[in-house]
Amino acid sequence: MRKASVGVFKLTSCSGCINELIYALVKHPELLKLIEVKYFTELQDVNELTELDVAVIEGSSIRGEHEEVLKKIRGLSKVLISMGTCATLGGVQSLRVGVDVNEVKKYVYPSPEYVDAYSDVKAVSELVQVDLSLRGCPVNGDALASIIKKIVVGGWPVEVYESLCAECKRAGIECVVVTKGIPCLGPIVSAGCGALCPSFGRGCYGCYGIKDKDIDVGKVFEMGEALEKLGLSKEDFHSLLKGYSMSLVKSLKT
Amino acid sequence: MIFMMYEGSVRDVGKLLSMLSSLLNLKVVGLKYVNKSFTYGELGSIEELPLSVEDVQAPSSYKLVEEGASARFRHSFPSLKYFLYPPAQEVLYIDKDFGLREAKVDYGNIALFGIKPCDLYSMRVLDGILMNRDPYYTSARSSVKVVVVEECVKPSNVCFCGSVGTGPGVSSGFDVAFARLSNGVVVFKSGSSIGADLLKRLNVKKAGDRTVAEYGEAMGEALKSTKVLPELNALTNALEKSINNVELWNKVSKKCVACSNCNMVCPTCFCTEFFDEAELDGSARRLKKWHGCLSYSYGLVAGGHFRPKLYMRYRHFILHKFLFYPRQVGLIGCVGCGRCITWCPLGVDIRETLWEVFKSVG
Repeated sequence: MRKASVGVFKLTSCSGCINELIYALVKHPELLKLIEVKYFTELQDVNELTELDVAVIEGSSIRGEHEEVLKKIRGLSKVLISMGTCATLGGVQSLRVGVDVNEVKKYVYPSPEYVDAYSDVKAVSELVQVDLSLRGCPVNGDALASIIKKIVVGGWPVEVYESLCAECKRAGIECVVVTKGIPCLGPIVSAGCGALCPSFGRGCYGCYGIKDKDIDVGKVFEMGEALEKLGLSKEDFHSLLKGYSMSLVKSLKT
Repeated sequence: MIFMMYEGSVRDVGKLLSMLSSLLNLKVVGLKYVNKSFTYGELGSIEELPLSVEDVQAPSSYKLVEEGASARFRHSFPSLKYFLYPPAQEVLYIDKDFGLREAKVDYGNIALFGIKPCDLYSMRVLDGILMNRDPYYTSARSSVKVVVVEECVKPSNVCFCGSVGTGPGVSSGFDVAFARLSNGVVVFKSGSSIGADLLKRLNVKKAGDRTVAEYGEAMGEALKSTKVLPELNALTNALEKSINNVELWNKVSKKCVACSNCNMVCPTCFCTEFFDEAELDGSARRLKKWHGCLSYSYGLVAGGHFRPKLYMRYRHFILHKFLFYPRQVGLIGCVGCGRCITWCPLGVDIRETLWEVFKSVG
């Protein structure tokens, strides 16, 4: 079997998803026999930007240079995967969207003029065609391993668009909203994490982002009303939406 | 059907439970309440049944209160399908040489104990859909040799079994039924020759006139409290007429965010999606997981979508229960347990929906 050539690239992000990818490769070392890593600066010293079977992107674009790099990678790759919530939906740095970036920079950097960033935060799919997107902050390592396996042996994952609640119920976890009155974004959030927070008695804060197929402004409003009754303020709800679902919030239909 | 009634105490319920294992050599399975959580599983003793807690239910709210002997438990979110038709099952394993191995369910011989009339009815509905069609359900279901039902003398605020004719009492499909009256007396009746034999061996006495009267009164009250929907024929006619009323279905699904909690907790929802997990050595396994029709991907097919809009999916859920199951299996698909009301995080209430539909046709 010919080895699949793989490149892993990082835009603006925390490297948490790349860590998950590395853990997945350590857990399934047999995968390394089936892939040839061409570009992965966190893993190896010598990297080559060349034609790829699979490009994996972590992080979102926050400056023009990112957009150029992304377009170049897209042109070189057969399959492009956006890995994690930053790449797929914008990520936590989107909290600053709507504020002048020069204002924001001043709070963090002593010499803000050295930081090259635009005010927007763009998900990968806003710039190039994405073949497969994986959400999560960070992504689910088992899902990553499963997808790499499928791609190298020849296959494609079954896409399921459902709420976190479906995973919670299948796992037999008692609903934190219904039994404890804890605010939980689960009903409008995409499944995939295995209901991690609710399994520890916590509400979901939406790190997989909201569902993208059946949630419009009206439904977000209904959810917001329900969450407010449970004690989550509108401001906090909006921050969670911005921080983990930005590219979807931008395109929400009324 | 007139049943011969017997009276005893909660201790006799415990004795009945141990007789099933000691006498009939059955594994006794029921909804266990251990460490403050509910699961279906083998019952070691009557102590594991939720006999001294009461569930206080309302739309989007479920509280348990400890009330001792006067507590009357109805249900939690796990319905019988968690046991007979689990949320995730491996159905097929293919080894690297393309050898197939079908997964098998082997529960041994079991007795279901303390299930409620709504759940008993849901088993009849699932039988109609899955028996001799789904090998895993068929084998799990065939392992059920004895059914002991607890009739509901005090239904909850979300229960409407009386409206759909599934409860709060039982008249068929069980071996033994018992009802705990408020004065501590437990009324037993048998629904089969096995049940009659068990009660004979249990040595409970024939119920006295006073107990029979109290039982009749309690069950009458319980039935009345659960008759909250419009008359069923009129309701199904209204549902037929409402199908193209988009405005109405948008209105009743306004709060719905398609989270599919209703599908998951509904004792008669049976839909699944298949997933293949490939291994690098060439082997693979096929998994089956519950998938709700409220979820977007449920109606997604090559080339399009059966029900792309959310109101269509909510409408399908309701229509399937009340119009399509009767055509599929000759039984109504809604058992009136009210789980979908309680466990909906947005508080969508099927009773309100059905009244809205009923009123829309005047």
